[in-house]
Amino acid sequence: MDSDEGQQSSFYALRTTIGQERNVASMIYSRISKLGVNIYSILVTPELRGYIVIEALDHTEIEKSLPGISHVRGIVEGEMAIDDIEKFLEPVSAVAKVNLGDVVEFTSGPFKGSRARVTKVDETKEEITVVLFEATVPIPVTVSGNDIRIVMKEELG
Amino acid sequence: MKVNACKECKRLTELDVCESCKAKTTPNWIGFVAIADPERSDVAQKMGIKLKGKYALKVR
Repeated sequence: MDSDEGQQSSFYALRTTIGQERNVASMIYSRISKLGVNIYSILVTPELRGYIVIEALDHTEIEKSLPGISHVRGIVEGEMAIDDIEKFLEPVSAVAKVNLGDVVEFTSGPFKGSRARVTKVDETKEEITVVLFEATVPIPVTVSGNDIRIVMKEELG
Repeated sequence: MKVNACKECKRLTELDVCESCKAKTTPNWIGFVAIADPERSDVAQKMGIKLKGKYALKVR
């Protein structure tokens, strides 16, 4: 199998049960050397829920490694381009898309479901400071960028 | 079992200090990359990974 030296690798998406992406990736990784399959890397990114990306010589190499692994839902037909993968390799900050004045909704924590307006964005700490709409007294609250989603962007101009 | 990521090389480990670069590790990390063949992997080359193993995509 060493005759493939110098051949380019290809990227394939594997469907998994949501929440089991890393377990599936670890299981496949532990089988690579045991089975001697030509899988070069396995990528799990929070942006692709229910999928993992496998870099391999071809899809048959992936198929060889899958029998008996739970939570695998099948290989997606076709290859992925390297350009599609690159954006996942350097994840952007959780607050990169948040601007002053945006309306956000809390997705976790004690304020879950509440809406607020952004008054400060800290890119390095990935935190935002907001003022809750429901609060009678406008007290600024600083929270992690991972705990919110943007509901409405501040209108430009 | 708690898994930490090295603040320097992003390698995943259960220890408080990275086994390969001796830097501190942190439990605040996201994303997961398992590199099986650093020489043939485009992902490893783009991320500058030279040793096979499990890595985080982003370490805080």
